[in-house]
Amino acid sequence: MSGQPKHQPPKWADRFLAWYCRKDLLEQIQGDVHELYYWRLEEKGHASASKAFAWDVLRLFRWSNIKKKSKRQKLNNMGMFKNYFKIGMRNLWKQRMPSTINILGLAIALACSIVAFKWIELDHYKDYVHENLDDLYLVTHWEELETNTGRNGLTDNQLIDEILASVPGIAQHSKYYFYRAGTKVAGRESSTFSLFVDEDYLKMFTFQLVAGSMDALSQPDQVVINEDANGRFFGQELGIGKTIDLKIGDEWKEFTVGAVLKNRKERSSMQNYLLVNYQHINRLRQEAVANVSTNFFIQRQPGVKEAQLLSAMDELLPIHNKDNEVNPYRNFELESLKTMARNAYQIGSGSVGSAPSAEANLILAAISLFMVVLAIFNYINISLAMIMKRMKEIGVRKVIGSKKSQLAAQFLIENFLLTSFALLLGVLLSSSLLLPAFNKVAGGSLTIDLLHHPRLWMFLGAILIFITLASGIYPAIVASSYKPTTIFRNKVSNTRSRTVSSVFLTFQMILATITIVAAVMFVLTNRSNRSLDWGYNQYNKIRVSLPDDSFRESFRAALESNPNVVDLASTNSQIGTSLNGWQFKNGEVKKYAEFFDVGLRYPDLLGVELVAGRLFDPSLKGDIKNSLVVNESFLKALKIEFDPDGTTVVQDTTTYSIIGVVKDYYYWAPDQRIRGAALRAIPESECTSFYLDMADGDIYAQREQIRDELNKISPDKGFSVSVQADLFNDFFDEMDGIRNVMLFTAAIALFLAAMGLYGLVSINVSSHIKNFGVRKVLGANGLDLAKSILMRYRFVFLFAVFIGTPLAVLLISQLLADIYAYYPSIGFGPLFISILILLGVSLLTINVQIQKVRRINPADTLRTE
Amino acid sequence: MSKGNHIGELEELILLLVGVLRDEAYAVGVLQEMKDQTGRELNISAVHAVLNRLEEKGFVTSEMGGATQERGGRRKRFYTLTAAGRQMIDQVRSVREKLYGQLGTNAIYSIA
Repeated sequence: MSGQPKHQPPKWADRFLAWYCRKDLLEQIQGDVHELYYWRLEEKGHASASKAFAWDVLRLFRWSNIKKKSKRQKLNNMGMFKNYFKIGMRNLWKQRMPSTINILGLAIALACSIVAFKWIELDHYKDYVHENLDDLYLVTHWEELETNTGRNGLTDNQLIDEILASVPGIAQHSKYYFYRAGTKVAGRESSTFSLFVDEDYLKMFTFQLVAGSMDALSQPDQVVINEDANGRFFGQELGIGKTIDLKIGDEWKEFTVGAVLKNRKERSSMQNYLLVNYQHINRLRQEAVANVSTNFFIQRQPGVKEAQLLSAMDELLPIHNKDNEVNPYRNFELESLKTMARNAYQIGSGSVGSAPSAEANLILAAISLFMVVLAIFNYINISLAMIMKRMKEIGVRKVIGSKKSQLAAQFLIENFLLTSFALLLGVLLSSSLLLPAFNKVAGGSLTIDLLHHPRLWMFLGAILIFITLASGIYPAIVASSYKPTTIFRNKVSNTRSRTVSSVFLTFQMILATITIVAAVMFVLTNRSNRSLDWGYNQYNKIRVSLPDDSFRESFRAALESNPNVVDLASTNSQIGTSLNGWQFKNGEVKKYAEFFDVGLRYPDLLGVELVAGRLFDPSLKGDIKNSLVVNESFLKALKIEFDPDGTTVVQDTTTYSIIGVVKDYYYWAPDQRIRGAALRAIPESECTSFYLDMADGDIYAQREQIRDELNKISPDKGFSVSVQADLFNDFFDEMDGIRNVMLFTAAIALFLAAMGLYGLVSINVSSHIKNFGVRKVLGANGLDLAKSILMRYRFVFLFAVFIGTPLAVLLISQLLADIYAYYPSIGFGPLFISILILLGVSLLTINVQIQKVRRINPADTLRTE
Repeated sequence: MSKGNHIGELEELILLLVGVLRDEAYAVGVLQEMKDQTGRELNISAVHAVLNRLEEKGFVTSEMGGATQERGGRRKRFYTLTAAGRQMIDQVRSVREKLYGQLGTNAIYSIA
């Protein structure tokens, strides 16, 4: 017989046999079944022979024929793996350039994801440090509000006493109440947000002591401070036993520091700065008329159910509500400490802690995922290219008898090594560079503590395995499935892997485009927001708040005699510092709008632009409490046509006449859309602050000068002097933070994409180096060579531009709309700039290689063969 | 008597066939010969099992032989009868004949 037989036994059965059969029996057994097959083929035909063959194989699947692993074989495997590691290290060293690109790319991506992990983890496990976590609750309740039911985190003090007296199952409890108390330490006076708590507080929550005793709060005349407060009051010295005078109500009282707590590294909802026994608030409460409400934490006794506590607490409500008809409690709800911060947004007033910003977390996670994907693509691309250089090695190993799985294992191990290096570098990078930078932008205090952070280890392990597999499997499979015959005949076709590489590179370029557009847009938006027209003249204006009513005349006199003060108006609301939404009614139309109480002269001095009607007239007392000056959005929202002879609108039960309409002005930072805003005139006697128009000059020097002057009038009581133009600075700074994150992301994405491109081009060039040599000999100049390299990547860039830019417009406008109320539209300009940046960097990258090609001497490259 | 000195009916037949086939005694050969000579169709797995057992008991020995095209170039394992095997066959035969002799011509048997 010659050539291949026409029919062959079923492959799967044959493979199955080869897989399970003992090596020493395989040849004989396989030979027998094959012989039987051909015998039956002649006798009964293909179908029947195949069936019989399969049956034979299955029948032969007996214990005595099945392969068994011997111990010796395993030892051999260990040796083999050790060898793989050795070869892997050598290969990494031999291919320094691609390895460096890979490691660097992966390290940056890993560093980003470590930062994102740290940030998100801390958010997610906020407050988890407390040992009694499972038993700690914030007592909240639902109450009937005007229009709906709301949740309140504050509990009435009297109700707290009743709960403690009658509800069983509470092991420990503490109130939690902030009060700004005057503080005097060694003669220096200031004021401090002090936290008033019960004596159980330090025991139910878990805190660490620097010095002193956890029982300190059981002594009413002792206070507990944390390291920050210790630094502020006592400097380097430990404050234990020293005195702090606190002014609670109108009374100064002397306290001694009983304990100093460690600053919390993890984020926590509990703000310990200066802790004082709640008794002192009780005294204040007895003196004051109003019944104070406070946050109230309880720790249940082990085994007590939430429902039991709640039903016992709810039983107290009917009696309580009878005495308090204004804000009746509907029912209690216990908020576990685990979810307290996350659910803070549900609690209208008196929430403790704040929910992590899901948006920020999402953006962070998305960015680090971007990076990881980019780096993985980089890796796959460069690996695929590198494999072409290692064809001979693969061929030889296969001929010697390496199995596909063994080859794949070797490539995966090399990949694992590389990823491990990248991980090491990534941890270093994030702890030394990225985290500090991120802390600066985001205002965190994240550090990496590998020794005491099992969760981080778990994360690192998981991401190591993920990246190893995600980046390594495809190249390993490709590498191990080449046939030695095609390799040695030099007939290897790399069309498929080249297609894959191009797809990945395109994807990288698209991602880079998106991030660049994002960065450009954020830069532009921030710039336009900073130069925003506020709708009034905010320059040369200063706000002054009164310590209390008794200072009104003395302050006014002092300010009026100040030569720098050109003009002044008294007011209650200061535009830009607070919001005050109320519902207004125009017949059936009901809309919420801002409602500001201002002095008669305030709108004029503010400099809002009048559209129709008039501003308040200081000589008309009738304007007070009756008239409104509204903005254009107000009229639009309430569907009112302005008529100078009389336009009215209803708020609550009062009917106001609208006397003037002004252009929309920014009463809040531009992250909020301007809605209706109404100014109501109030009498001078109700004003709590002044608005000053200053002469031209250094506004900050003027502010200091005014502050010094007023300090002489009110040395003890606090007041504030602020520059109006600085109003939105916090917002702008925050937005600059986001912009910086975007710039950073774009830079990294571009860097990764450029590295990927560089790696591919350089491998491409070095594998076609003879080609270039021949071309040079035939007279190609630098431009021709550049063209041939560039042409190879033209589709990548085309796709990146034509897919990336629409995608970017889609995504980025969404993001901008989420963050800003006003932003410039993504026009042709920003897109053009973005594409220019992308192409510029890409060309520069390719140019490095082109220069290399230009410089080579064709004689050197062509001499080798 | 140890167990090794007993052989079953199939073992006896295959042992005989190994002896009969001489140089051509390998698993598939045995299988085909069995079919030709006795009409019994065995599966290859059973043949292998019996041959292995016989080899363990020391009645046959084996060695790898030459390759053929039908087998995709794989070699055959050829079995040869050992002295012990031959002795076993003789012993089985003599027992049979002795018993057969005692049967005589006037043995009673049922027609049904």
